[in-house]
Amino acid sequence: MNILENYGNNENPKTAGEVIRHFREACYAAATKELLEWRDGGGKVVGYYCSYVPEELVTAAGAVSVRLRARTNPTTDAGDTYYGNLTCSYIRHSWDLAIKQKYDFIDGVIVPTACDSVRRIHDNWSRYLPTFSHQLVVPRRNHEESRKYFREELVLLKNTLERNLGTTISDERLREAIRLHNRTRQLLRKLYELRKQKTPPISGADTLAVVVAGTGMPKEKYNALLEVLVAGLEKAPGLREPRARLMVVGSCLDDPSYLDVVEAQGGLVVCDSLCFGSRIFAADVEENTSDLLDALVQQQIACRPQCPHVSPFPPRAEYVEGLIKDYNVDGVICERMQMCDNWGMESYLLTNSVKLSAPILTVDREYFSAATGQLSTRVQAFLESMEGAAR
Amino acid sequence: MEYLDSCIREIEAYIWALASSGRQVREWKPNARSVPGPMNHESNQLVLARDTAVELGRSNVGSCFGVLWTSSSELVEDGRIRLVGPDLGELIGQSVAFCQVLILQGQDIPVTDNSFLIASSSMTDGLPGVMSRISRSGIWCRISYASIDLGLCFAALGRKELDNWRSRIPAIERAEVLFLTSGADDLVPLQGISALAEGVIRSQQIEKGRQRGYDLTCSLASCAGCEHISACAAITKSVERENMKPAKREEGTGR
Amino acid sequence: MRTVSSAERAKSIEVLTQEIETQEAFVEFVSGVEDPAVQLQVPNLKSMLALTKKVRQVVKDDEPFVYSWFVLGPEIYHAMDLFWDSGPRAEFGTFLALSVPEYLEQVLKDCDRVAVSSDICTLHRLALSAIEMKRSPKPWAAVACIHPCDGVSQAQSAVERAWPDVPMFWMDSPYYPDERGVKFFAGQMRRMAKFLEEHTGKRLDLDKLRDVCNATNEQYALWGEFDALKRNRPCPVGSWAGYGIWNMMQNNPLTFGQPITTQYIKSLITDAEEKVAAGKGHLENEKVRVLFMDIAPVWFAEFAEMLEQECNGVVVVEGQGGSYAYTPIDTSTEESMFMGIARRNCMETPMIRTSRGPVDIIINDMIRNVLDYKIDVVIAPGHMGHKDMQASLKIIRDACETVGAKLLNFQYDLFDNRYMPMEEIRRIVTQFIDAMSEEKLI
Repeated sequence: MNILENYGNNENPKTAGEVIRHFREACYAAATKELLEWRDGGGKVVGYYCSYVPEELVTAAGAVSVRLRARTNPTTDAGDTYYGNLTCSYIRHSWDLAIKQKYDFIDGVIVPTACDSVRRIHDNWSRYLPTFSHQLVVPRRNHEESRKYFREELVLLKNTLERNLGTTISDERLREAIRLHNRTRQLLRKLYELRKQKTPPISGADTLAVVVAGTGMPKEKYNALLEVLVAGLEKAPGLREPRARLMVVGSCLDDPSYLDVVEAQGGLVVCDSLCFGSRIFAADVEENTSDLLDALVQQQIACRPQCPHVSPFPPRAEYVEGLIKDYNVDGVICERMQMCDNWGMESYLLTNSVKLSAPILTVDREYFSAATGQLSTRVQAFLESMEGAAR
Repeated sequence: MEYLDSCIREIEAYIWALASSGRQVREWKPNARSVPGPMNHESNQLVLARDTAVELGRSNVGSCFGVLWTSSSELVEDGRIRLVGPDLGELIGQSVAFCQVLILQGQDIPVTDNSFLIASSSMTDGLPGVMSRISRSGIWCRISYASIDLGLCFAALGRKELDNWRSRIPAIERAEVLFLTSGADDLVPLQGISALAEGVIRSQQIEKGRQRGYDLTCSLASCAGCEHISACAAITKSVERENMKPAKREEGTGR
Repeated sequence: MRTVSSAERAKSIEVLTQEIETQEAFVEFVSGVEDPAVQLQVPNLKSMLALTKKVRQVVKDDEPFVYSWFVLGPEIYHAMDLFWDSGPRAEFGTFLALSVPEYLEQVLKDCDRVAVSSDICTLHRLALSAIEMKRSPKPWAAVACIHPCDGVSQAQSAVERAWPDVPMFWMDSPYYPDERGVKFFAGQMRRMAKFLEEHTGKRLDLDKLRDVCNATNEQYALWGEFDALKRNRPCPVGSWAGYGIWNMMQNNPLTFGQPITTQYIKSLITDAEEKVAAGKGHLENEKVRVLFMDIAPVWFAEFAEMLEQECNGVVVVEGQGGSYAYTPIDTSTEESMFMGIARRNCMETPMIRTSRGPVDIIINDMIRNVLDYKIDVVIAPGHMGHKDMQASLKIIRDACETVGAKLLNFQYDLFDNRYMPMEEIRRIVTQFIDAMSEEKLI
């Protein structure tokens, strides 16, 4: 069955179904329609890797932020001469696009030091590509000193954006941007609330598409589409009572078809802790403060759920356990990209160092993977083992 | 490339202050072509401890190395070699604090090019009886008895340095060098002045960063009260001029 | 509240005793080798054996000690009279034992039982295995090293979970090598010192801190002198000849800042100087000079032998070899000492220096080393755990081209010789060097 057949015309989505179809297609486009329209109108675009980049600064600079992905690029022939194969495949595929100058819709890139593979994008970009690249240093701790350090980093980022985009980021513009992005977060949290229902109105795969698509288009357009989606889903009947309520934990999963495979076994992904998922919108940025940069710091480092880049582990485990309880999760699937040290150790810790109140299945993958059969089999076995334990 | 001009002026002022306070400051004129000392022999570049007459800049004694550059010709006296403190022949048997600062002038000195770095790292190649190592903590040299017996002095050392730099980087139009051997206390202000140009490696990183729009040295959230504000303004202007150049995108990939 | 059961203590003592016995046998064997170059290394080997014995004694007597890394301010531990054990001691220290094939096999089997993905750096899997097997005994306090790489950072979370009752201090680190970063790290070190005072009862003595900084300043200057001698062509010493300096200067709390280390370095200098003066190289017919851009592998002795015999080659410079210069610590004030210690630990020590921060750091070091030491072949970025170096492949290659060095890139595991057997390494290296020689490129 072609899931997309259920959806209508997506030229101007007016229903929840149409929005979902639109977002699905956006996931597999090099650049979204909305982004290209913005670009054609003379708008600037700044690419970024990883959710530790506060997009508000880009928005306040009058540009649109787009999280760089590589779903259109199954090869790494050019990238492999820059990156050895003991590195993350997501970064290799993305770098392959970059070095082939296929990210021609961006004016520059922001590269956080969030992991060993991604931070070297900046070193390569600044040597081999003509557009600007800014390295954003992300601390590994939520200390007062580390937050102060990160605030200084945001000053430097602000300077870079102003210089390269020829603009000034005033407090007023930044506050407006924060409000805009907070609205996005609120709408996404509303969407996720609907998934707490016994029969959620949206699948995990579709939800992933919703979140991923939002990282590639102007937030005003995205919010308008989200409003349509949420309003529609609030009235929609649930999909079905699933065989099992699942949670997915992991890193840069940006491929809804991966979750289609998972859900095809009868389970339903009802929540997540993903880089394109709940971690990025769980906490808002404080709007009513005089120090807006500090507000961004607080949101990024102190308030929101962290990925393994920011130590230590217990708060991350608590977040996962909290979601298990809130969403009534039966089983957790922890996925990680091969060669990823951060999530490799995280999956070990989640499996061996804490006793979650739901069983956990760990799965390795590559950014592009043909091994869907293997994934199906493992998920099937996982569901059966949960059912067996329940009996 | 004016952002190091204030540093260059500060060095000049400091040398004048040292001279005024009674330090021996020697200067060799730019047009002096004949300098004593061995030149251009085969050398293994190693000077063993037993053969060392003078040790300069050992790390736990004190050391400073800097390379500054400018596009302003009035700031650099071409070929000038200056020495504050004793010359090599007056330091036999000693291990002293040492500073070497090179000041280069040219319109297009490739400070972000690897050749700049490469050129900096073997400046005394071909000068027998001299072993040097440059690093971010400074410069460490050993001068052999044999070469001092043959008349090696800072004038010769300086001349060799300048010749090597010019031959490896054609864009250099003017160059001068300063040496200081008058003691660790005298070194300290120079270390401070040359903080922005702390070794060739560090300078190159900063320049690369500036051309890419970020500041490796700035840690302040606000410029108010910052002592480097005038230098920073010059840096910003320099980067803005870079950004106004035709977009590299049209020229294709790479540098 | 930290508790150590008698069973845990007994297990640690048992495992450490086994290690000591293996090390003793190895030291005895090496001490009997009539090669002056080998004899020079005996103090280093004996100091590693002494360290393992000390760890056992500390366990037996339940003396306060901290679990840390050599890049987290050993100067401070020394000034607190606080013994420190480290993850690397369990891996590098047992180099001694790991030189014994049967022991290495056992250690790797233990490591295989740790359920961490095998694409994560073996060093960290070994560290976790050492904790599980009680080869790393439970400390009174721990300092988490969360730089330079993801692997070590994540491993600390696992260490914390393995010892939930051990108070742990987490050191964040800056990224860029600038004054702002040094200040940041110095602040972390001050807090660490306070933390250790609270949890071990030891006190920081500033006079002792000054003394150890002065002593190590002198030792780093000597290290620089030894390195300078390796610039000679032919190289007067064999591959990894300076490894022991790193070990005694940085990785061994018993020899850190001590006269025995000064004496050891001086003996290496004297030996190398005499060879340079006599025009003698380690190899009679040195043909290939290698920069091994990594820390010393467990299989370094085999590799060195293969390189010498098959290629007339020598590893002149390596990742722990002090080829970088260390900035002396200004001991005039407490503030200047903390800043100097921060700079040294955060930005200048091996592994940290090669992985932390922008790639310019290692590239500039590499270029400087190639030129200073007249390097023909650079081996990089091979270790399976060095993801950041893997991500710098083209940059490294371009830099090598700039300075005329030939880059040999192949993957290996520094700690697990099953990953890339020596036979395969031999084939790759010899074929490469033969091809370069035929083309008259080296």
